[in-house]
Amino acid sequence: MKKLSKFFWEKLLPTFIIVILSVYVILPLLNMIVASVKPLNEIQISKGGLWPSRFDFGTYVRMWSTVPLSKYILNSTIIVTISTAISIVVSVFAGYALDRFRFRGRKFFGHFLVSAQTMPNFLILLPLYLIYVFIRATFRIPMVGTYQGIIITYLAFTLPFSIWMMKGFFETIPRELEEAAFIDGCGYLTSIRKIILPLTVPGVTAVSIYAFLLGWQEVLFASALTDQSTRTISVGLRNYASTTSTYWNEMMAASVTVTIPIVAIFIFLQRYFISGLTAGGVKG
Amino acid sequence: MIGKSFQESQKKIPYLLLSPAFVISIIVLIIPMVLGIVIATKSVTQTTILDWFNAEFVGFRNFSRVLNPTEPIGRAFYSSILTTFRYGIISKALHFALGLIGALVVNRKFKGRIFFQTLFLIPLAIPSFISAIAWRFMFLRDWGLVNYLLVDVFKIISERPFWLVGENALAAVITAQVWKGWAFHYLMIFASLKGVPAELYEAVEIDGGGRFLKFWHVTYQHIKPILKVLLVVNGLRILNEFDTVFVMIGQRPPASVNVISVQVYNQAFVNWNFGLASSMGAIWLVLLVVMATVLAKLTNIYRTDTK
Repeated sequence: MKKLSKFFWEKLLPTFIIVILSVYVILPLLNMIVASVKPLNEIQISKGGLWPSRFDFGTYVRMWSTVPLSKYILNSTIIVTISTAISIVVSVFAGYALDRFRFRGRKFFGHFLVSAQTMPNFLILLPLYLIYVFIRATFRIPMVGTYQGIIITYLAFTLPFSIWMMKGFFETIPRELEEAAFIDGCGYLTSIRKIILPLTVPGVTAVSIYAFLLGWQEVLFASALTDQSTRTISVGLRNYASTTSTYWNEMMAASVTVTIPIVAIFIFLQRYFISGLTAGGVKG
Repeated sequence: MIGKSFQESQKKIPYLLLSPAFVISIIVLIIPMVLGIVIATKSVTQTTILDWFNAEFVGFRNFSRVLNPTEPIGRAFYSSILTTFRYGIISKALHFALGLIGALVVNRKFKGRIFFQTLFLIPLAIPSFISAIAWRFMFLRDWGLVNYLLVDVFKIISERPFWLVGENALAAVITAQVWKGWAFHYLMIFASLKGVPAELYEAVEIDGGGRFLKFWHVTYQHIKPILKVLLVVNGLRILNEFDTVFVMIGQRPPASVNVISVQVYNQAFVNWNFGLASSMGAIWLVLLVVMATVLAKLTNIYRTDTK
């Protein structure tokens, strides 16, 4: 009886749970990959059955003309790269200042950064949209539907956690290093550039990856602030997926195409990816 | 003389370094927060939006309309809040349950454990809009794998249900949301489980304790701090979640999944009533702050964390 109970708790139940969780994780991905090479009529007549009777790899060619996929990807790349670059540069300076100096307002700014990260994005979106409308009406500078408009908006969520994470990385670098450089006659900027920055490469990498991925999957701001010409991949694919006559095979092919680079980043840079997730996701 | 000017320049440096961050924060965070309150007291609608700055000041009228349960807009607001809590609590419970169970079952010595430990992290690498689209496809009535399995293979249900409308949408959206969310909880709990000293389990064993005592006195005590962080800091996030509903269900979701973020978004960008939307947002923000404070007090999180 005791042996049976041990078998149940240490073999049977864990195995059962692992199988269930694995199926849960794998099924939508498998379905996505298989559907991406199904002929469209197979998707319709198979009633959701997984395996097709023949494969159609042409979906990966046709998808580029069914949806303006390359334009979406280009837009996302431009927007996310620039906003990530800006927030990295700004957060390196700010994170350094917050960790290395004691000055008035330091604590306040720290608290502000933490609470800014809990501020729901959908509450920032409304006033920002109206500010953009105001800028357009007053200064005749278009903001809604432009790159600059969406890039500025992305800083609202990338910047607070980038600064916070950078501050955390600076904490791990001993202060004596740049004090020595300072005594040797380096200015602050030189000491940051020559001594500290090389040491923060892992930190900068982690923050960049995390900021890039957050921007890459952002839906809310992009859906309200982009138009046909600046549409990002997330909103572009979403809009196509919610039409009634979706070519689901090409849709899934596009999804696979968009996912592969990110899974590749995940596999090759897992350490940075996970440190970004844990730092940004929990302390955030 | 030199010493003084050196000190003076030292004092300015942090402000200089912070100035870009400060300017950007003012533009993208502080001005919008303040403006959000201003807009909530104005009648900013489709007709006044282009010149919203001069739109009529209506005081608390937007607030009283939103809070009035006899008006359609008030009913929609209350129903959204209830929906948000239902969605958030069920999702969060599943995140914790699956994350904890998942971490426990792969934190044992068995063949191929590295494979499963990594497999459970895969959802984290999938962008949320992709997982929402993939799950939308899974839940399509006629072409979806879910109905194929439920109706055609296992014959659990005889009639193919519509998953993306009505009450069923909640189950569909939660399935998709939890798919990504549990993996994150798994990651955090699994990382924390690795630090449990094996001697403690032996100590319980010597005292004659079984499986449950081991879990309760050793494992649970050890992972408690991380569970608290996940609950307080991450827990409120699910209540502001927008992507899964918006991507999976679409612009006009049924009441069962019309969470507050989508409600406010639609009030602004579909009905073009920014005044009402902003007052909803302001009330919601007050609720969030209250909940954050209560949760932090209940879990004592800032006292046990010695950071």
